[in-house]
Amino acid sequence: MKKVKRLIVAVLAVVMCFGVFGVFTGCKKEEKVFTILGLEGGRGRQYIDDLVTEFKKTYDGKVEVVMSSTNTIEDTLTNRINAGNYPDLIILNLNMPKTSVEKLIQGKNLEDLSGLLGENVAGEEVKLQDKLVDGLLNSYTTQPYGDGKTYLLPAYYSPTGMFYDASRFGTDGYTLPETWEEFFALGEQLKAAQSGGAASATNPSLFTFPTAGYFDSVFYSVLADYAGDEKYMKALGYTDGIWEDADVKAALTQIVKLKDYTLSTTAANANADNFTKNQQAVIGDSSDISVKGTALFMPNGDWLPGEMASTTPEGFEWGFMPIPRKDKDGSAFVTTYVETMMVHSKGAFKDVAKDFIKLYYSDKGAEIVAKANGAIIPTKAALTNASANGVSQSTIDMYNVYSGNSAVIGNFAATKAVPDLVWSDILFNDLTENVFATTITKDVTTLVNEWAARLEQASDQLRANIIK
Amino acid sequence: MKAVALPTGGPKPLKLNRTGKMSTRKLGFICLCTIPTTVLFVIFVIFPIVSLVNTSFMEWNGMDGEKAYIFFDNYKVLFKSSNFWNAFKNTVFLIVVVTAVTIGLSLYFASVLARKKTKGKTFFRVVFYIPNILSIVVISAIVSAILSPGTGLVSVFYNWAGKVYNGWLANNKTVMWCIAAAMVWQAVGYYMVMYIAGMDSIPDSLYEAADLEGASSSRQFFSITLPLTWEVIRTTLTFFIISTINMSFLFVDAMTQGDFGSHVLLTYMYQQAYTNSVYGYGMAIGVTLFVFAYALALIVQMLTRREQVEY
Repeated sequence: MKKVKRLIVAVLAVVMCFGVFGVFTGCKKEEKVFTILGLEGGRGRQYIDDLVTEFKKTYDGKVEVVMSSTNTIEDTLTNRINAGNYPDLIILNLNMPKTSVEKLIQGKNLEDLSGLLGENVAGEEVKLQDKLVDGLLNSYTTQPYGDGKTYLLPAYYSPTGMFYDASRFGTDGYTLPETWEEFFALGEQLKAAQSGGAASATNPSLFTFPTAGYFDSVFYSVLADYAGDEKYMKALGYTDGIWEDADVKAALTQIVKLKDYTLSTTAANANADNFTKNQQAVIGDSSDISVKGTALFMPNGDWLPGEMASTTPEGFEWGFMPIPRKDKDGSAFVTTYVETMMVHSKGAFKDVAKDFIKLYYSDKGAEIVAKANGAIIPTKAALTNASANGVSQSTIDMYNVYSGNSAVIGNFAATKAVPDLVWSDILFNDLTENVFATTITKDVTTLVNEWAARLEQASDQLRANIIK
Repeated sequence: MKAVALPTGGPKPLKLNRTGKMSTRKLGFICLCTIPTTVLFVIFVIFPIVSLVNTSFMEWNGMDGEKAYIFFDNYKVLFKSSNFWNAFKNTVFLIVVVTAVTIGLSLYFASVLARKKTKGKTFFRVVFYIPNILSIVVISAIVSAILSPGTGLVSVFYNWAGKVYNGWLANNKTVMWCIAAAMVWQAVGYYMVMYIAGMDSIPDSLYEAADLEGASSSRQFFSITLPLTWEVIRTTLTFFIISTINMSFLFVDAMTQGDFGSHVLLTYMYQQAYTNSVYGYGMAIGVTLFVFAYALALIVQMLTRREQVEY
């Protein structure tokens, strides 16, 4: 018996030694390969896998693809970077929970891609800058330092605007408002019908929003509309006194005015857990009976139909229109959400990454992406060939919002992070508690002034920290 | 009746040699035995704390950026920040309210379920303990559902009263109370089990004697149960401080994400260190919290020190 025991102990000890040995051999430096690190969100990962298959026809090295969800991808990136294991091509968005892209920008660790814009895309005699849809490059999103140099490229672009239940408008329903004046007039009409009671499917409120973060699609549109190009760029560059400007305040006023027409339960549900309740409120025949049909409009992006697909009733049709405009005869401004990709300046395969980007923006690349996830990449050809590439008609319709209207891209100048100051909170997130909470009873002018004062004060601090 | 203090028999003192000193061999052996623990302690406790304090003096975005020493600048901003003081206030609020209410409830339940021949004793023990097994996310979802406007339980009562309900979680005045309630509900079972364990070891004879002398239930509780479980309660006070600080992060994160002024120190620290990319500042919050929690635990231990009562 004793012998058996000893034998077992000896075997276990040997196993343990191997274990430790294994750990050490595991630490051996791995051979570096071209690495693509990206977010596996609504766009999936199939498109990257298919692009890699195509890319390997001309590239004989190994390719590593690291993709995961919002919850993990930023930790993966941080760990790799802190270990000196730099990914080459990074496909990740601004304003993620841990703001990794902003950190890369702050650290000046992105490769300048301005030169790449002048090069031809894969297999075509067309320069990259000519392939891209107009108006996407001249923004703080792609040129974070505002110096005309491009560090980030638009991997995807999508229009945002007001979503509604199409069946509630038209011949025997409400009339679609086009200007803010018409929008609020409809709001007054609805309020009168409610006559102080709670909103219902037959007497809905005018407006709801998923979370205050979604005000970005309203904010940049009204800012561009009411303040004009010059002041718009000044605001995005934290120019001194800009939030005290009358035109800029007029833009803020449109948002604050929404308060009086917002579904009363919105603020309570405007958080990561319950925001879909606010989205359900817009669906007239929603399965969520507590909120169904209680609001007419909400700001959102093109991912909404997919996000709500499992809970929308059969035959339901989303309506989509640009954010209301100032003048009846003016054009609307469509806040465009841009998903970004970039090359890490310390990556070992920067040139390979650039070649991959050239494939991405080629017509072949557009076709591969469209077939993999049904999306339209930001090239002119991708939009014209969308139908041939198998993109659904509803997606193409959404991009038609650009015809006759202007695209605006919202993102502020890159700054060093300032302790205790979270700009996105001051700009949007705190609106829930500072403006839209039902406990707030101040009038519109006061609320606008308070918001402007908070923005001005924060701008002062951020201006001093702009990265030059 | 009065509990009597008896002398205790601690561990035997180490054998010393004739000169009154420990033999070198023995000392060497003791050192050898403590080396692994010391090494682990240094690696997993001392080193992280030193590293934490060190980072709190830096300006760094936590990834890929330059590190620069700015010494006390982070702390200067910190102590001037209203957000910090609000989070601090909320943390203290939770520590006080959650501890007070939970101790009261779990001592009451424990005394009922440990001593009394209550019907369905085991059943109730299980029922009270269940919230503790549930994940915090589940608890938060349950509480959020109860508080949800429209379909929630609270909403129904409001409707009966003919009032409009727009959510207690969306109100600066009520939000912290809701979080505290959820935390109490989660914690009661856990502490109840601890107190039951302490109470179970009190000999029945004491209660029998008290019964004979005609002491009421409450008298028995305050004169027998409470003094004899005092050490357990003291220990749990430290647990309360640590777990309330830690749990408050999960509850706030799952229920409000810090909206409506409900940030606590840990969520504020997380927000600053990761979302706002000021890692050094975040660590300064961490250091402050560490010092605060440590000091609070020490003070509580000192204030509650009493002559040990045994049976």
